Amino acid sequence: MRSFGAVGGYLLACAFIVAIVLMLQFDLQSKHATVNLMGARFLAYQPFVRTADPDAVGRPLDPVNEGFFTEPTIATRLLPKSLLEQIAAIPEVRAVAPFLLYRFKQGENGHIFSVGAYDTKNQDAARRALVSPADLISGAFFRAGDSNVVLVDKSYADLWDLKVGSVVVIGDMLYPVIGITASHARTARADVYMLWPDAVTAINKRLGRPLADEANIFLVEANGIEAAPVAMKKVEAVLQQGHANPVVCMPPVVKFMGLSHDTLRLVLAIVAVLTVLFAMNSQWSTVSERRHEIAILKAIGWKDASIFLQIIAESLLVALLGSALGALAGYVGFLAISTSMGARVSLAYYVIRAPLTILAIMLAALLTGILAGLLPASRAARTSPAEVLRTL
Amino acid sequence: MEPLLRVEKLSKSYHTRGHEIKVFTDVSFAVNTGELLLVTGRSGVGKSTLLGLLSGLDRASGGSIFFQEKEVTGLSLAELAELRASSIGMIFQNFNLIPGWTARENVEAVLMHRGISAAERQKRAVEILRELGLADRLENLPAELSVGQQQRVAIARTLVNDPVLILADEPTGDVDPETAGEIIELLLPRVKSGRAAMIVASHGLFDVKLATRVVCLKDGILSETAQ
Repeated sequence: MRSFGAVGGYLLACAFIVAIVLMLQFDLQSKHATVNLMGARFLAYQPFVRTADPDAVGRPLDPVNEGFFTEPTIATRLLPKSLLEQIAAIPEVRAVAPFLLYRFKQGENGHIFSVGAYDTKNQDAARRALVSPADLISGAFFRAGDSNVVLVDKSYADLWDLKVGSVVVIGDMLYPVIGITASHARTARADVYMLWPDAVTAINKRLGRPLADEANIFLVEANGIEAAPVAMKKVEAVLQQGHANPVVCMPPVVKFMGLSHDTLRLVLAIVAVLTVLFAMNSQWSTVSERRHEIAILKAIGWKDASIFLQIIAESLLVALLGSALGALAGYVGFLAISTSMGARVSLAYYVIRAPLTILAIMLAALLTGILAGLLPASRAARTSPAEVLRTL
Repeated sequence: MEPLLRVEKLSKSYHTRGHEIKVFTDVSFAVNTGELLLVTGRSGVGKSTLLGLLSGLDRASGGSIFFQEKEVTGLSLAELAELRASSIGMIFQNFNLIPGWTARENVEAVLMHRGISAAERQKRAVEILRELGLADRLENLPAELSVGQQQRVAIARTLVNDPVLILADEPTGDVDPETAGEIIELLLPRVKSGRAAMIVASHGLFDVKLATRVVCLKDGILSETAQ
């Protein structure tokens, strides 16, 4: 009867551990996916000081209204694109792309708007950090061979009633709008997106010296949210007096993620300790109740080692049975809870990650079974048969 | 012929709260194969303690025990356990069957952890239980058996290993005269055929006429009595 109780204890503990671990794992994955969507990306630039050499910003013809900048209104220096290789070599950096963000003053009505340069050579980083076909609301994205066409951010399009097929004036040139992009938050954004060569041509007309192989911003994507703070520091070091700004509040996000990790570890530690104590108490009680039986076995010739192994084996069997049933119950519980919450768990998680986690928990339960059986088994092996049988 | 068991100046005492309680001192005797030695004496004189020492379940305070001319008083616990498993069979007054195990499992228990296959263990257990008339009670728990059947299971457990020394502590103490007779009938042939020796501890319920020799334990002294 006590063995059933012990199996039940393992079952409950294991079911709880499996369900809670799978839920927390899923929760962590979701947070990772969410924060990595933007949190692992940041802008790197070097702020411009007004007293510095105007060549560093290309000598804008209208420095009061125009110039290279980054959000919100930080004037930035131009940086050689050769720095891209150094940044790409940082282990914590997954991808990097150059970006030109220039503030223009429209010639006809004098309104200020920003132009961003899209570099087709660095599409991987640019699409994730800047703009991608997925951001399109209407029209088409840049295609190979395109030139002198633009994409327009929806908020800017709404302000000036622009649609696909409309034209925008940049400098003294007209550019047809081929697509409207959503205004949702991105690592970097502009009112108007141009292809890199077109943007260089348009901007050069507003500068006192032509752009060399330069960019004023680097769009950097780190290897995950945890790697981002390190990547930012290393990129700032490469840029020398550079700044690295994430769009989201990265430090709190990293702490938040760390808190989730710590919570998971804490819950596991508490449950593991409680399980070991429970299992040990259960095995101890079992041995106490079976002193008579153990004494008989010793009287008929069982060695201490055999008694020890028997108790350990029983403890292991109880742990195996309880953990297997518990793992099943926990997994079913996790599926039921996650499904009822409308969570969409990936197939890879269902068939690989979750079973591996369950297997690890079961192995831990078996280890617990051995640990919990050690003391009671040792006590059982030391039972004096003569003493026990004499008291009967 | 060398005796199967020889006991020389065996003594046993307990220490309780600084006091020494002597159970018996200088107990000496020998038993040959084919003999049934009856140890008599009032309850509490130390008959069971003596059997405990002979089986290696307990340690003597002094003296020596020689089994098949080998001194066993100094053997390790594991060696004593091996001796019990291979050569000594024990029958207890209250049977001492394991309540949660079936009759067959109780008998098999003696053969476990000795490198005997499960199939062989089961075969031998079933054979001896059938021999003792329990063919239809193999899978019954002790609680489902009558007192006589329980005692027969205990005897089967003792005999399954074909021991050369059988130690019986009041084997007929808790049973009716008819069952007591059956028990004797099952055990005696082993002794009479010269396959084993038996030492029976009893406070008077065992038929002394069945014994080869009778010794009496009284006031810590063992003395031979005339039959």
